[in-house]
Amino acid sequence: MSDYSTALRALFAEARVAITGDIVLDDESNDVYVQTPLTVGSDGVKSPSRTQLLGLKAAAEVLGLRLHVLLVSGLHEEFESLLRATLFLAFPDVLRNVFCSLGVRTALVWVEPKQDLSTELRKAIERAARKFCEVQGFSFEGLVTVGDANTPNKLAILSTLREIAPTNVEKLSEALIAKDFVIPSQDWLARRLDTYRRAKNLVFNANKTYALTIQSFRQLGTTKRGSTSPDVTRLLALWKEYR
Amino acid sequence: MEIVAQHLQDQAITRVAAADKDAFGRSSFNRYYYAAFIEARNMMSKLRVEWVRLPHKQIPTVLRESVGQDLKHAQRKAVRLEDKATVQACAAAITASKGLADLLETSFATRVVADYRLETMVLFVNHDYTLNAVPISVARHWPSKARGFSSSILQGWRQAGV
Repeated sequence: MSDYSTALRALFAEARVAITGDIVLDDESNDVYVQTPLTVGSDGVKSPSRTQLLGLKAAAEVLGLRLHVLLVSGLHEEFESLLRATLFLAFPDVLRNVFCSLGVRTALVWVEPKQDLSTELRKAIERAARKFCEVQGFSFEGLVTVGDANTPNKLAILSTLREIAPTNVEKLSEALIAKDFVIPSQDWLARRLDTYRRAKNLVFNANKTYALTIQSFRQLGTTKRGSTSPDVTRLLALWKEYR
Repeated sequence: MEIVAQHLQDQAITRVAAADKDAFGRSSFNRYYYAAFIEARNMMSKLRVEWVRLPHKQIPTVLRESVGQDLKHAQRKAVRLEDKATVQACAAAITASKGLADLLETSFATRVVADYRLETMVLFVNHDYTLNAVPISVARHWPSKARGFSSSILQGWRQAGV
């Protein structure tokens, strides 16, 4: 056994953190990967704790190693394969894969459908996933469908309007499509904008253009972080318009 | 890449000679890693063009730091606007960034063992096998999980308008 491995094993033993499998050192660097079993007690306390892990990382750094601890959760693997089997059985030929992210007592579920899901089918899958999680004692955080149609939400619509305001539905629609959003129809967008107008997020001018209200500017805020700053993107948009 | 990995997995199970089983077994881990990595790299290049050149090992760090922070920042804006759909999209994307970072690190470490630690043998138990305590039944989901996490990150990122 090589020196780094012996030294690391001693550190882990001292911290009372178990190791699964061999320690892996990447030859091209000083990155070292250690697998350790993760357990969550009935009180919701994780072992190893964050403090233990940070301590190990610092101790490894003294040895000149960049430590990556890979937490292996038997509970997660078991939960996931049961959930997958349950949903595959309930919805045959609909799903390509099912997996989840577990928090201490929370579960977020991902499904990859074989084709687009109807609203009813999606709801049925969501109910089944929720029920499974709750029976297992996890609170259900939601269902994420891989490859959902990507229509813009409020934040995206208002941020885009901010860049090119005052503007009309057609131009705003084009700007959103350029950002890879799907706009079902201009009528759909116009109805969205009307909802935001009633919430006092924007104004509709007599010449059929829209602009943000001061309330929206405050809620959106600003940053001075280079190309992601809304002030910079606004200036760039103006330059494109008037150059 | 994923179908290549599946083929290698089938071969590892059906072959008889121990050396063949080991060779196909370890290569299947390698290919499942690459299939997952390619999903992640495609997604990263859509977030920022320059991220297509990130070295393998830096992707998890960028996901946990830059990507996670930008999404959290956007999530706070969405809270102020009472835009629930975006708050949820960002929450899923933040969880997905951590999940993808963990997945890439675990699969990368396994890939190093598969390619360079030939003394660590693949262990067979019936139709399942493990390499350095990582079961193939877990590894075979890496590409699909990476695709799912990537899709969530991309959706959250678009809504966030970062």
